[in-house]
Amino acid sequence: MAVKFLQAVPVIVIISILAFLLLSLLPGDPAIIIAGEQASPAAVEQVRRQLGLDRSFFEQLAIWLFNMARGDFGSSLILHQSVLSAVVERLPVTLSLAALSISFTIPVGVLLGSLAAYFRRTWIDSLVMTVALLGVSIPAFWIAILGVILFSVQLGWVPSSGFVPISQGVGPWFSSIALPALILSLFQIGFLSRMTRSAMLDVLGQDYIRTARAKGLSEWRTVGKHALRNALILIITATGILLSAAIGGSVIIEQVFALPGIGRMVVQAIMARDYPLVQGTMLILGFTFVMINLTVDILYTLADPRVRHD
Amino acid sequence: MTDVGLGSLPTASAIVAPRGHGTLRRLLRHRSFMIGFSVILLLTLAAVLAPLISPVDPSAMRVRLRFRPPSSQFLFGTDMFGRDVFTRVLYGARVSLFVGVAVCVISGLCSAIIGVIAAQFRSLDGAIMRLMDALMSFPAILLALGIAAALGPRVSSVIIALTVAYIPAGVRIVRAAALTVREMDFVHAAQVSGASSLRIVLRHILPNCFSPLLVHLTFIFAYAMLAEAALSFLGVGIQPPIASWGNIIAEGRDYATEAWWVMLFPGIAISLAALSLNLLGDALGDMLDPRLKGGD
Amino acid sequence: MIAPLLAIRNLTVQFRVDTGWVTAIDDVSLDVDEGDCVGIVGESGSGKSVTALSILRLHQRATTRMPGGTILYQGEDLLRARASTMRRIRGSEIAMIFQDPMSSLNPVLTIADQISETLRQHQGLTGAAARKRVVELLGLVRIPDAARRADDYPHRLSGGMRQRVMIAMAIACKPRLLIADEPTTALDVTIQAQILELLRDLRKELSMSVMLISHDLGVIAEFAQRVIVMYAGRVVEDAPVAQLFRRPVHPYTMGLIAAVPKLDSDALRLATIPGRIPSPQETIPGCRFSPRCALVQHGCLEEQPPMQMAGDRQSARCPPRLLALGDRHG
Repeated sequence: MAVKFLQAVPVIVIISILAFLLLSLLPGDPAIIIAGEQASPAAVEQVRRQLGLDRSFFEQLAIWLFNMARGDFGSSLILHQSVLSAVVERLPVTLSLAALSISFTIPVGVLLGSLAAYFRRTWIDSLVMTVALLGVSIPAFWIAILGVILFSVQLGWVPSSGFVPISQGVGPWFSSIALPALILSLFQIGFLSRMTRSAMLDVLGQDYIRTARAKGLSEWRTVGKHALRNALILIITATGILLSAAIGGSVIIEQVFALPGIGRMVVQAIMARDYPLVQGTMLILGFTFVMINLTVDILYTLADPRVRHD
Repeated sequence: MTDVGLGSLPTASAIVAPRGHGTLRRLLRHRSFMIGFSVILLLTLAAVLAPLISPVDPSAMRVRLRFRPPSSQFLFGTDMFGRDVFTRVLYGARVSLFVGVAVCVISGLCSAIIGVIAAQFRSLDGAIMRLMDALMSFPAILLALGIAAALGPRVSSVIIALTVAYIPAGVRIVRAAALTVREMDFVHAAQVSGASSLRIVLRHILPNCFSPLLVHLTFIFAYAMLAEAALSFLGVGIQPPIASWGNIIAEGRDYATEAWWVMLFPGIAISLAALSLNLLGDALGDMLDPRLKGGD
Repeated sequence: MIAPLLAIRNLTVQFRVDTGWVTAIDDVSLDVDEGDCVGIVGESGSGKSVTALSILRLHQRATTRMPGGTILYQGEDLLRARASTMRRIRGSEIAMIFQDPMSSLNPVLTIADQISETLRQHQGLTGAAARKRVVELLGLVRIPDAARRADDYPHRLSGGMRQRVMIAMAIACKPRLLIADEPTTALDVTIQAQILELLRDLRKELSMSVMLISHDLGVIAEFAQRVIVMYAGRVVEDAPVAQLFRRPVHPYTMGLIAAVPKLDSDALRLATIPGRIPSPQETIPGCRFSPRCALVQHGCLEEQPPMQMAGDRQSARCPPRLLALGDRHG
């Protein structure tokens, strides 16, 4: 297990360097781009000095990595606060969205996938797979807009935009987050049920399932215990992917529903050319995903005894 | 990091599945394959023949004709600038399909090369995989967003961004396939008979990595199209007046209640394209190894 | 005469493939008496495993159908019994072990967990009592250091030990019939002998009937009391073991026995049976062995030969041979 932690370190370093290099992708002088075309040379110089762009490449990289180790991810030009605090401020929104959608996705996805696998080649299988296919094919932002039109504008069941923090009541909070989370989970449910079906088909065809039946175990126990326990391995991995995808997907969903989350902040920062904010946020998100993947790896070793080192 | 990518691991049977004329017959009988293939073929034809099908300038604004609902003259109606939505959707198909194909081809080539190198040269393997892990730590959309934002809102940026985002998954698949194939007897036989490493790679290993990569690339095509639409919708992808399904929806959003047709048709187009590609990918995966993915 | 423990009568099993339904076994009949040890021998594809799996109804329901036949166990037809009845019988009255013990054991559950499942299901044993019984059973199948091994996962055990675990699982509830489908095929020869010896001893200790399936004549010869020879989905001969080897009736049986290399023979070439086993989809008019038979006659190609008695407890599906041997009964 210590090996996994060690492996994560170079990954984190590489992510940091990649995030740093993001600025160098900009065509032309980053200082001018950030200051704006119309800015005076003095203003441009100020930006240059402010962002330390007048130093050499390696100096900049060293400063960047040093700051990162201290927990300093830069400061936003527009918001006039540190990137870290900006992210933390918006964390509840994105977290609510991701958490709610995942908690809906996992049971539904696993159930649908298992049903499809168990009733292979029947109408149940076809129905579930069709639904899953639609889920992964229909663009989220489009269905989100349609959803807003239907459920907010026409039916008035939920507000069309805005986030209500949970401190103001669970009901209003849920109302503001329910539709976005649902839309977010559509793709995920499609993805997870397909993966689960594939994993379960694999497992259900194994000899030990036949052994379980030969011992007189009920179908429930055979599938629930023997089959799922084995499919769990793949499902855990899929969940890790889904968690990352949920945060990625929230970028789009937050835009459509005007939720003040991290994703929306990134998009707005890009529009406003607040590149330090973009860099810093990407870095923080990168670390988060590394942590998620690490956790998934650890859970994986717990789930599959064959992988454990004795 | 675990070794399970977007799809399942390629199994030995998937890699060395027999190909030949029998496969063609099976493909033609496979329902998912035929539906998926036909739809995407139709869309491609529509995109390629766009100027013939609708010889109207997609950017031509005729303010007098704004917000016309679908009719025999304007199949999909007109938008807020009086532009013909049908033509714009057709031309949008060009952009989306072009981006999809470009991302597939480039990322496929890069994945194949990097994956085989990683499998063949153990010394480079560690470094390569750490880099891939780092890239895969981000969800593709976010990575593409960052890169496209830095490079500027144009087609080439979107293609580069998406290619970089999807290479790591492909590398995983090719590397896993190459590692499996390396251990197979026919490779040992080639080595023993004195074939050079390069020859072994080109003639034996690469062709057998092709199948799982092909299935993967079909899904990448779908993801790339959806991602491009999302990026264009957000405003960091392709900008109007160049028509992209994503930015048509973005423009039409504000008028969703009055002119629902502007938003509806591009969305259906994206869904159809992605659906057909997913079906195609399922069918191909099914052909190679019936245990992979959903399908029949 | 006492009724047999298990009586299979005219069993036909069909599987669905892309092109339709194909017959895997056709009109199979055999008996297993109390305390009997029956060996079913045949090449791969002869239908022996299909027959065995049919007893406990372990085939895939969606792609299997059994248009004819009965399997009588204690007066009940297992083919038409309720699912709950089958669950009661499986593992407790009729148990089964399979060919590949690695894939037949669940890799993510401990040995103790998997064995105590049976105990919980059929005997309601849990906790410490179940644990005690598990260790007892592992000792019974001669696994050293049983108490510690019980908490191991299957991948930590050798092939022979895994098969012992399978046997322990199977005998946990003292079944009356143990079906062993190629239990030694995946094992080394020396381990093979050990496992067979274990099965023989357990049979005596627990007064169990055993149905042993194998393609290895040597294993059958050593272990079985009665032998049933199957070919291309049909039973072709049924005889007590000594009689079978002393005087095989069916040409296929003769071919099988002749094909076993003998240490004291001077032959330069090994004897073989020419031709190959027909696939289940092939329809052959008349006797299914006729294309390969050295003694084929005109009548063999016309209709399926019936099983006929060839002596006191021997029967075979070859009228010409029976005629030749002069033992045909009316």
